[in-house]
Amino acid sequence: MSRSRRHAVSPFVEPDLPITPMLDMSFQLLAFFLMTFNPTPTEGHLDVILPKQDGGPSTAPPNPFQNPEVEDVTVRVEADDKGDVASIVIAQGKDDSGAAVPGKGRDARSNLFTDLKARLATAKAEHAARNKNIGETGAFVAPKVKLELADNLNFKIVIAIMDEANRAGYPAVAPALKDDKK
Amino acid sequence: MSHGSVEKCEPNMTPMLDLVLQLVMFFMLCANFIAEDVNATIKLPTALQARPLDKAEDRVIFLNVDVKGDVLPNTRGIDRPLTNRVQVAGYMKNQAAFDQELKRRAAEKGKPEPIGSLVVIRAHEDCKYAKISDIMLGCREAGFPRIQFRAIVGISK
Repeated sequence: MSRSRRHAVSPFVEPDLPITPMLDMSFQLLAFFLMTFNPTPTEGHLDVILPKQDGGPSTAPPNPFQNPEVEDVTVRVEADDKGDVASIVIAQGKDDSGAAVPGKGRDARSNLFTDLKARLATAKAEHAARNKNIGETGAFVAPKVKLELADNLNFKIVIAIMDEANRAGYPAVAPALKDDKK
Repeated sequence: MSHGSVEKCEPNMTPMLDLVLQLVMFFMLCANFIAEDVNATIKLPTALQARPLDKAEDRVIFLNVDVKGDVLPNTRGIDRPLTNRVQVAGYMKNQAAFDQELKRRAAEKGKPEPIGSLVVIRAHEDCKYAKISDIMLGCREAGFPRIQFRAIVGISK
């Protein structure tokens, strides 16, 4: 009897979880991560084809759909004192002495893009006409762009030129120094 | 003389705590303490056509090149800057030995031969191209023909 009465009067204790220390710690962590937050810019890559080694194979992957009638494009770039583009000459094929791309610096790069794009469009049209004549259906593959670069050219300019060539539709770009033996 | 009952007046902290913990989680996931073997001091050039690195690559060797054209020390065996093609070729030949070991093990287990390591050149944007070319030729000498340039995705300057 006495036991049951004691049980009946025991007070109800409401469980109380102190969340204040947890909140303090969370704010400290938040402050730490906010202060150390340093989002890295998105990095990407540009594929490089190494120039042909004397007596060795090219590093370009073999292309079974290579169009024999489309010759590689050679872009010769001279640099000014600041390492920017002084002049660009573009040639296609072994017998082509090349044509100067007008402008310097950024203008020259922009004009190079236009020139490369126009050449690719012409090559595509010729390829389509040739296929029609001989009754073939082979896919068109853009020719390789060989860059012959001045040695004092800044790296960012080389990347910009490769970028222009890629944008114009040439995925295979082979940068080399103009003095290298190819 | 009855007094009104005393009510506790406490702000409800639970939603706030939820939010804070979610923010903590976000920043913890975004924190990039040791990402790749990259050097944050190098200012990369920008290119629109730069594509993300292929996740399928087995092994990538990062070469961080400063504005002078020296390959900077890393956690993979470069303890002092490599200043010329011979030094780069020497370092890369050591790396090639690792590749050979991987190929040998694959052959022992009858697995297809792994393709060689990819070399990613992270060069400062104002570095002269002659130095980059030297590094590339050093890599080729050591048997690494697969090379990529690193750039930040964006409009070229």
